[in-house]
Amino acid sequence: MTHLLQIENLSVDLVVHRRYRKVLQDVSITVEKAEVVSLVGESGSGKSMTARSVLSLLPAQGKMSGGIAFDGQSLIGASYKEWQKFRATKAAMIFQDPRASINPVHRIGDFLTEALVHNRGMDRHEALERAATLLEQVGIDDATRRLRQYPHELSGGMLQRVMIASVLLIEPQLILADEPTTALDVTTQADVIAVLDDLRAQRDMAMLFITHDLELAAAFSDRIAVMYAGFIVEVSTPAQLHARPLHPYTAALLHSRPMLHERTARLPQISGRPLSAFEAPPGCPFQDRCPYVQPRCSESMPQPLLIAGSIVRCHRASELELVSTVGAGGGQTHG
Amino acid sequence: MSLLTNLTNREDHHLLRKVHDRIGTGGMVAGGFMLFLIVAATLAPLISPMSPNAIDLLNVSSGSTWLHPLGTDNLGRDVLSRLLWGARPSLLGPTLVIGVATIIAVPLAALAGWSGGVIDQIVSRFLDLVFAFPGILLAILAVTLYGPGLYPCSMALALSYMPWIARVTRSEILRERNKPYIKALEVQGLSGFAICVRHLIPNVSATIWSQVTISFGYALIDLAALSFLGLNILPPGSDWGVMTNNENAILQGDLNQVLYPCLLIILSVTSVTYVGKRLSDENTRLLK
Amino acid sequence: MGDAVHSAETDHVRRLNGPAVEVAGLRKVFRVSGGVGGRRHRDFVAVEGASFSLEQGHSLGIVGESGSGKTTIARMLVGIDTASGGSIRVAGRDRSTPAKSTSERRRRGSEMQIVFQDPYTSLDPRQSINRCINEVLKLHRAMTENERRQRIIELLDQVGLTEHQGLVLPKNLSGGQRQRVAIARALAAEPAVLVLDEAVSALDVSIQAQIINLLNDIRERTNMAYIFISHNLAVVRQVTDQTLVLRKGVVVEQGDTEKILDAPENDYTKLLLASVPEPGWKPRRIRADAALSRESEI
Repeated sequence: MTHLLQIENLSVDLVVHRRYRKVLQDVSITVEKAEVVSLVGESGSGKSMTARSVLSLLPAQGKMSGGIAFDGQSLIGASYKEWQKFRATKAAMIFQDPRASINPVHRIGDFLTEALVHNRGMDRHEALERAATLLEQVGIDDATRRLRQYPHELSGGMLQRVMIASVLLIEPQLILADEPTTALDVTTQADVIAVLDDLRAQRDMAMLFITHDLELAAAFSDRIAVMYAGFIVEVSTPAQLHARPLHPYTAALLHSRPMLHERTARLPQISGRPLSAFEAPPGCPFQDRCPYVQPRCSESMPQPLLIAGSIVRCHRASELELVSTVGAGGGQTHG
Repeated sequence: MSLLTNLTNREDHHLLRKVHDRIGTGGMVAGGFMLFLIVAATLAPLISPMSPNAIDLLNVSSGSTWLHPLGTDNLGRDVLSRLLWGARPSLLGPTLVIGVATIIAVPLAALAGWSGGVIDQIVSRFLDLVFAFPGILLAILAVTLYGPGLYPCSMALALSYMPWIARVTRSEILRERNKPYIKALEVQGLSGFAICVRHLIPNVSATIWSQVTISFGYALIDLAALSFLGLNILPPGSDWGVMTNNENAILQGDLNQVLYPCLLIILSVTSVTYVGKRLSDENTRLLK
Repeated sequence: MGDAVHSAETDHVRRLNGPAVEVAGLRKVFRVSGGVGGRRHRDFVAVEGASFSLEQGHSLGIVGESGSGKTTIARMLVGIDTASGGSIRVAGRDRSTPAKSTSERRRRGSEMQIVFQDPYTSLDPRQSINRCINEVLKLHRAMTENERRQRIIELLDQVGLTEHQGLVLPKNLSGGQRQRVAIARALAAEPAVLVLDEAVSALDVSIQAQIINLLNDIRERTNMAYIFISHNLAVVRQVTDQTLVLRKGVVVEQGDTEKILDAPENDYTKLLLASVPEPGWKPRRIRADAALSRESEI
């Protein structure tokens, strides 16, 4: 069976200060048709870079190795034209800051219909009508008036809805959403996420959702991939991830988040700070912060293991019994 | 001894590499050229082969000879010596202009940018007013009042260059003063003067420096033009501007006498401006 | 050594009698220019009639979404903005009007300090950490150079930084470490009240937990009062005793944090709580603005 999106052993190096710096290491993940996969991680984990690699939106002079295939066809070595065609029809991206990704001097209507009119040769009036229908669906009232407005006349939440509508309009098979709600208020976030997930599901579109918020990812993802220092350290279903995290980093992330419904006397904290891929020591990148570290952790990066349907990269995954909340065990091993 | 030289060498190497990182190879060449000119001008009395005003009517407008490497002018004066001596007012003039302009501009800009409101309005309108007078015109005015010379010309130009530096500095200070670290110092209760002197001005200094170097080039040209017009340095004194005003040489086709000072003016203006641009680019890069 | 200083600090704060902060009828109106050429003005009410009081050693959360006026309140408290109406008293002294002298500003600085959201712009990029804290100590405390050096090491230690980290420039520190420095700088003035304006919002989850613990430790040790401004209800739960919910400049609910988060009475508070992703949460199309404007019309 072919996957809709298959990333295999992807490694990326970017030039920073005239030097190559590793940003992704040996990343493998698949997205099936109509599936939602979330990439979760802290700053520098490489989650955004993974999504950008899929659309070949890496900065100039990036070095890339490994495979990316869409619907069974490899995208590696594709020409600029082929990439453009891919981005115009098959996959589309929603960025964090809609204000930075919508041209401020064009009307909303022009922005929404540009792709349809130029790439598909659709009649302008027909395109505007479709845009109006979609705006209503993403929760924007008075759509025909909005089409004539400029981006600065809309709030951030409204603009992100416009952005979502623009992506849905080109009917891609895959949506890449890079922290689409991080800049929004919580109430707006809830609504925008609901809109995005509803409309995506109706159209059988797959989505790769990038976020730093584990709970948000858990709310509507089919699978979650946790990233750290350019590696995917664990891939699991939301339920499994919360019930029995396999990687110490995942468990620590779950522990250290403040809970809405109880006050924790002292949040269990991970010492140190999240590392970027280029700073990581040889071996497991989490070794310096890991409470379960052993000598072998600095010797080699663990290979992906399949445990109870989840994929994990930890030498001790099968022996550790981690929990998601701090109970009597205080997050320590029970085994 | 060898250890000492080794140490200093390594130090030098380190410093040179730091400078190279900031202004690049082109900037090093340009900066080195300016350094060379400054050293040559300082040492002019020691190194110039003869007196710049020694007239040798038997040997006028000669080409390059062993005695006169760059030839002589239409009065038989040694061109190399005149260039070396002329470098002194030619470089000192713009230094004076920009130095005085900066000393007035930065406090004014800080006052306007920090205080805001009415004070900012008054200072800004004053800057606009000064801005409206062309520098050369102010210099001519100064010369009619005080007679020709380097000082009246420099002071007049300093006044006209001041708003250029003040405006850029003010807008940079306006941007900087809204940053949280300045707000935090205000909340601490640090006086406005201390915040400006210790924090605001140092943090916009890169912008000030790049504006200063660019203005330096313009001032050099303006002063040369004033000399050419006979308002700044008067013969027999000489700077590069005076040397370009040699109609006899031009009429007789002895272009090299005029060519050398022109070349020096162009090269030094380009060098200083280039270094300034590199510094300002580097500043934007570091801010990102 | 360290203990002696800590207890001195505790004494300093305890010497106050009466509430650390008293705010009554606080109001802020911004004049927004509109129309052609900005000739026509209209008034925008950012904060309307906020009142609260905060005892020493207690922590008050101010929550709300963007445009709710929570940051405006913080700015008025520390004197970056001037209140259009109402009164502010901190440590028993009125600060409703702008400080008239530098010494007055300095005294207010020693009563209340602030930590901002963005650790990357909160420190002077040209000043080493030691010099940054030293400057504040010189301003507020009569100490010899040696005492100051000692105190800097203590302050750095309190926020979990090493002596060596005091020597470097901010660019050599991570975001979380810079936020620790910003906290140490605020503590150096030994204020009675610390305002934290989204101070943990820009940090990664694992770093956020460290800073929350640090803040709770400091409050326990120094009996300092906090005004904790945040949009994140889960974080507010960990750091505060009382909470004030703001919506469009108006306080819609205030009281004990536990009561507000466990049994909210106001519909807006309920909506805020329902919007927080947590285990079992499903995003619903709430149509926040529509639902609430309909409700407010009734």
